[in-house]
Amino acid sequence: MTAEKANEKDRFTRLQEKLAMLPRCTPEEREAFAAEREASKGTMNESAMMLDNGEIAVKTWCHGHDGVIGDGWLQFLPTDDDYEKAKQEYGLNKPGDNYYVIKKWVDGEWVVQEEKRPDKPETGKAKSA
Amino acid sequence: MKIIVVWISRRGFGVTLWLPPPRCLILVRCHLLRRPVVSDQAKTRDQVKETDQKGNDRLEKPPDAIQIRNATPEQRDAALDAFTNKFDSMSDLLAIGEKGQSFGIKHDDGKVETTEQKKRHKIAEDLPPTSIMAVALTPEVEARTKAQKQAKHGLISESATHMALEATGNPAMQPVAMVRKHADALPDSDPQKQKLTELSRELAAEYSPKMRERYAQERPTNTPEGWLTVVQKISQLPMDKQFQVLGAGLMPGIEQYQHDERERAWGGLIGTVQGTGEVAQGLAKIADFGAACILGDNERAGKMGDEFGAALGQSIVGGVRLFEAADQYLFNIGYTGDYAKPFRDVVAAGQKLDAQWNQVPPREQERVKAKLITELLESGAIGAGGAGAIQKASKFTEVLDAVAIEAKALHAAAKPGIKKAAKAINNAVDELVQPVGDTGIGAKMPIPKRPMKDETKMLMSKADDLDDGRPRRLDESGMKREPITDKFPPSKRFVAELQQVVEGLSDGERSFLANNDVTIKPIRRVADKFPEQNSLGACYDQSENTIYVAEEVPQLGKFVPNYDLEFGFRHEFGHVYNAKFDSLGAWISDDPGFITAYRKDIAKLPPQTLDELQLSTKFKSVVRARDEVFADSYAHSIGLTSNNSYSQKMKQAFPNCLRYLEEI
Repeated sequence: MTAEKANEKDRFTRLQEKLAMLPRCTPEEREAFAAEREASKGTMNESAMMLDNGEIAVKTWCHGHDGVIGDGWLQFLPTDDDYEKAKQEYGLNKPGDNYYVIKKWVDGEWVVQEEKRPDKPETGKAKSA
Repeated sequence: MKIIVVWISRRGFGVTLWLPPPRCLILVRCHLLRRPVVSDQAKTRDQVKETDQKGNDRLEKPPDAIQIRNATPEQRDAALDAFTNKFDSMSDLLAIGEKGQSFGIKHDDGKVETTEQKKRHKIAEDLPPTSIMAVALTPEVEARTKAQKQAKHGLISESATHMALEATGNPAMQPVAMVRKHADALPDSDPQKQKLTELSRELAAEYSPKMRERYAQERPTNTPEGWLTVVQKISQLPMDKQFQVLGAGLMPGIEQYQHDERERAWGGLIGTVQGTGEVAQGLAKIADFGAACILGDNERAGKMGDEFGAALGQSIVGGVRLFEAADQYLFNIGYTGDYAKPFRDVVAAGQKLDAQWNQVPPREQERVKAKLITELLESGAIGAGGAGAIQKASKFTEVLDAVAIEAKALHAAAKPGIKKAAKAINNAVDELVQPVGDTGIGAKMPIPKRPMKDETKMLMSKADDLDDGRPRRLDESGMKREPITDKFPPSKRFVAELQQVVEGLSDGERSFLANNDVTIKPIRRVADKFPEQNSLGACYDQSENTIYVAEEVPQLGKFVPNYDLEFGFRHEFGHVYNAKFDSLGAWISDDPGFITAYRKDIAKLPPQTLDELQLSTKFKSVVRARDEVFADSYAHSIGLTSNNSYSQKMKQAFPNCLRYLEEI
């Protein structure tokens, strides 16, 4: 076992011990938080932003209707073949531009609730994904 | 009846041939091996001459001839068996010669030695050639010996006979013939049999022009070797003649006219009339596969994949540029030519391969190419130049034709490793022509032949193989649905890559996963498991208590490798840790301490940043926002650097949350 790994083991153990000593939320709060989590099922977000170096970073987050929670990350560098296609896809033209779309799971499909494109005004609702 | 004895000594080697009647003993002696060793080099020329003269005298007047004639049948049998079974391999034989020892049967006191070791010892003490003795045989003894030997060794192959005959006039073939004879005598189950047989063939082709010519004229049979022989000859023909041969071979149907035409075309051009109908199956399989593609019969094409790949592999390493030939035929002669139909089928097969190839991500294409190049280089089918040409090829058919050009130039079909080369191409083709299935999300992908192995289960998974009573996904008919993840497993490379990431967990982290029955599963795509969440790279399914990590993620209409594997996995681990830490179900991100840290951080962030990070309430609830910050902060807290800018921004935006997990 390497020294780093030994230290990491200690770190995780120490973290466990520390967290075990800290106060938890009350049972009432716990129930309320659980209800809030349950209500957020069926949500998907996708956003993209252009950084100062021109890189386009994309993040997807989803809390599925079946409770699955997951993430996805993409990046497009100016040297990538798909870079121009990505710019068009998300409507990003200059650093600082950002795009997002919010979808909800409605009747067995993802429905766009809100979408913002830098090159277009904000869209309306109920647009099929 | 004849007896041939070969001997090897420090001075050279020789052959003793016994041919009755009239009974006579012929001895041939050669000085082809190395000259006498150090002690002999010190001798004067006269001494050496004297020694040679003594040896010659003994050759011409074998002093033991009387003893040989008077030997008992048991002595003769023992001598023959000992001689036949003395050597395990060619290297053994040569090693003895190198040591300056002789071998054979020595009658010191008129009796034959009883043990191999003793014989060798005594033989080594004596000088050649008197240590090598043939025994005289009566017709009765000859018959009995022959029966015994045949019973013991079975039938000696035709090749062994030819080698033995060739050896009578070519001393260099003697050891080769012995090796082959020994190989033939071995049982089929002996792994050395095939090895020695091939060795004898190679040596025979090298040392005997007659044997080499014989091998070249061997009738092709319906075997990979036979097919290779044919395609190698085809590849040497001018392109118009190749059209004729390939076209005739490709022609479908069983009508007599076509059969005759095919026989004439093949026989006239490559001189192998008899049996060529059998080897035409190789081309027929390629054309049939193409025909199935044209007809859109994907099921049949999928089933034919194995045979198609094998036939194609043999054709390519034989040096036939099949796809270029088909293209040229249709271009030069047109679609009305006699062989237009079969060549169209070949073109269709090529188009099918290229289409499948285009669906493979570029990184995967490079992997397939690199694997193919490595295996072909190892087998000797291509050289460094060919590797470069393959590397540059953009279409799969261009890859194959580049291999064919190189294989033809290097006469690859004559090399021992050619089977391996054909298999390498077969494997590459196999990856492209597997049966296709529907993923359930509109995309069609190959169905692997082998079911996913348990190696994908990296941590304990008690639930997967047992019916634990939990509800399973059912299809419309109410039947249990076969998981798509089983049909489309991730690549072994990715499984190994993820395994490495998992092994990077600390002992405490792994214990945590094991204690909470959390399973980690690599999958090809998240959509294979969760079709509705196809854009994710990794996810945690709380109902199955499983972290799924995808090999590929969708990107602008195509799938690309999941480039941030390690951080993505740690992020999902953070979600699991957050949810599973407290046995009563209290999440760490709901702890008062963490909520305080979160509020401190978020208070400093402008709304635009919260939107960029998908943390404002229009994106997700506050509890879910805290979950996300916790998962990212956990991955950062162990020192991982992420490739993705979102996580970098998150780290900068939530220093108090990070400190909450770091200050321990």
